[in-house]
This record gives sequence, structure tokens and C-alpha cells, in this order.
Amino acid sequence: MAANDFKDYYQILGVSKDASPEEIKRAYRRLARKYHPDVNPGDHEAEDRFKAINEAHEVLSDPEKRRRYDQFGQYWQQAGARAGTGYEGVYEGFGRYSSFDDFINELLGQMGSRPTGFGGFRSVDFPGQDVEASLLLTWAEAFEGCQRRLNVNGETITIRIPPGAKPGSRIRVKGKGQPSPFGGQQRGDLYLNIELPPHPFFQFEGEDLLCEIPITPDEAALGATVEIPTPTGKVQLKIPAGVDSGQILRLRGQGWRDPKGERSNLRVRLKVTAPKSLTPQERELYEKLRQQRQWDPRRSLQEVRL
Amino acid sequence: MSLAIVRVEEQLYTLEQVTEAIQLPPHLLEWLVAQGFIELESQGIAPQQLRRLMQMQRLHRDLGLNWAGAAMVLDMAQEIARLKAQLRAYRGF
Repeated sequence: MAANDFKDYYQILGVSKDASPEEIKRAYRRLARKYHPDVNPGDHEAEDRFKAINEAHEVLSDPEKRRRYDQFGQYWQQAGARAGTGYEGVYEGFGRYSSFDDFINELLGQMGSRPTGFGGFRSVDFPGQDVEASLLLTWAEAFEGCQRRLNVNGETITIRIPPGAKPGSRIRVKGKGQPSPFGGQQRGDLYLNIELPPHPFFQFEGEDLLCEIPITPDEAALGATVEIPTPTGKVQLKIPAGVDSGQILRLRGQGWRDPKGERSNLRVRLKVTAPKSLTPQERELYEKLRQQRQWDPRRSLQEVRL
Repeated sequence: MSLAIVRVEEQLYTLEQVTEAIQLPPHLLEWLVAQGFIELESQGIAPQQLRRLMQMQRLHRDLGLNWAGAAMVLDMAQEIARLKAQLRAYRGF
């Protein structure tokens, strides 16, 4: 008999050897809540723990099975100490088990149904659980579409990401989730949630892209044509005269794309930026501008009262 | 190497198939649908909703949760799985 064969069900449930049925039930409930596979989707370790907890509970919650298990435990200890002597002592008949698994299979097979994971359902080919995964793409990969090789449950699969994926896009890969826990053939699905790292220039605003470009005070006053980046290259943007900081101009069809190639809009937020250092000539012109000004943007503030 | 992307037509189960297969009283299924815990397609139940129903049944049976609690646990477990995956993606980046 292998020395490390024996499963200590008391240890698995975290109770002492003389635990009362109530203590065992409490410990089982607490651990089952924590490791239940439906609460830990895709976590194999939790699933194994849950199976062990169930097996322990099935044995220890039944007085007769618990008595036999305790006896076998003592026999196993003594047999381990006198390996190979065929010692059976006062514990009748345990010698016919070549391993702990033999014993427990017979105990649970004879006296109840062996817990089949979390079985009990049959007859229909039930699908396994869905798996959630995140996939981080570069902005270019997401825009153009790409192929990724992924390791899923030890199996390498190639996924084609259609062009135009956005943060929060979900791509369903059919049949690459968990195998059915009921022995069915149908596996659950794999859901890939697309993530994009923050971009220094672009951000999403709904379907559209938003960006911010700095302009000078004279460009704001007089209007200008400026070159701005889009996902597919540079375009010229005509800024009308008299725009304010924060104002948004919309470039139709220059934003993100969808899988069919339709483009959303690119919203360009203007930011009027004052020069941080002036040449003497510039300073002179700004001074002159100030003297000549006819317009007071704060005139309406005269009326403000509480 | 098989791969399928985005929407694929799914096989739907009839209500009778479902209640019989998982031994759920038909009126209980009706109640779960009326409460919004399970969603029906016009022609039957999608595999994903059947899975959800079975998970709720197990949580009910194994942990003694009521149906509202089971539905909530599943929604939260899915959200946690999504957040964990997101965290792994960002840590790896």
C-alpha cells in the first residue's frame, strides 16, 4: 500500500477527528461556498478542492461510512508501520484493498453513489462552462484586425480578431471553454474581452474617437488649416475663425472602423494654448493687440450676483 | 484547427427537454423565467441559459442558496472572472 495514498478527510474539511456531525456540516458548507465551481468559473484548483470536500463530506456525514473510514485509517497506519507483513489485526478484511482508492470506491459504491464531481444529471449532452478571458491588443492590431495564438486549457488555438475591435468588445470562440462536467461532449464557449492600453492621443467616446489638438490664440481668432493624425494617416482640418478652447470639431468618417470598414467620426477638441515665452516682436504685437481690443469677453459678468 | 468567431446559430432546447433532463418542475421554470433569472428565446432555451439554470440548481442544492441568491452569485462570479482576466492582461503587459 502506497504510504501517501491515504486521504485525511478530517484535514480536508479542517475539523478534528472527534468533530460532531454539526461541526462537519458547518465546515463543509463553509468550504463548499468558497470552492464551489460555479462560484469560481474556470478555476481547476477550486474544482479539485470542491470534489475533495464533497468526497470528505459524503464519508464523514454518514455515521456508518465514517466508522468504516476511521477503522480503515487505523488499519492503514498499522499496515504502513509493518509494510509487507500482511497484518490485519482486529480490523477484519481490510487486507483485500490494495489502495485507499480501492477502499473508498467500494465504500461509496456500496453504500451510496460515488459523487461524480457535481453530477446527478444525465441523458442530455450538456455543455460545459463558459470561460472569460481578456486579450490586450495594440491599437493598430485592434483597428486592422489580427490573428492571435492562444493557449486555452493546454491547447493552442488561433483566433482571428476581426478589424474594428474596441475596448469591451467580446469575441466568442465557440467550444473552447470548459469541458462539460457531466461527461458530455459539448464544451462551453470562450469569451475574449478586448482591452486596449491608453493611447497618448486618441480615446474612445462611444463609437467615435476623440482627440485634442493645441492651437495658438491667433489661429483661434483668425482660423487656420492644421494637419492632424487619424487612425489611417494625416488629414488637413480647417479651423474656422473665432473658435473657443474646448470646442469640438467633427471629422466625418475619420474615426474608428467597424468590421465592414465603415468609419465613425473623429472628434477634435481644440485647446487654445498661450505661448510660454515671447520674442520682443511678439510681445510688442500682443501689447498692441491689447490696446486695440474693442471686445470684452467678461462683459456679461458685470450682472452676476448671488 | 477549428475556430469560430462571434455569432453562430445555436441549437435551442425546448422547455420540455430542459425540465425533463434536469428534473425541474415545469412551474418552477416558468417562475424563474417570470422573475427574469432565466431568459427564453422565442423558440426555446439557449445552451448558455441552460447552463445558467443548471448552475443555479447546483448552487441551490449544494449551498442552500435561494434562486435570487443563486442568480446573483452567478452574475457576480462572471464579473469577477472578467475582472481577474483583465488584471492578468494588464499585469502581463
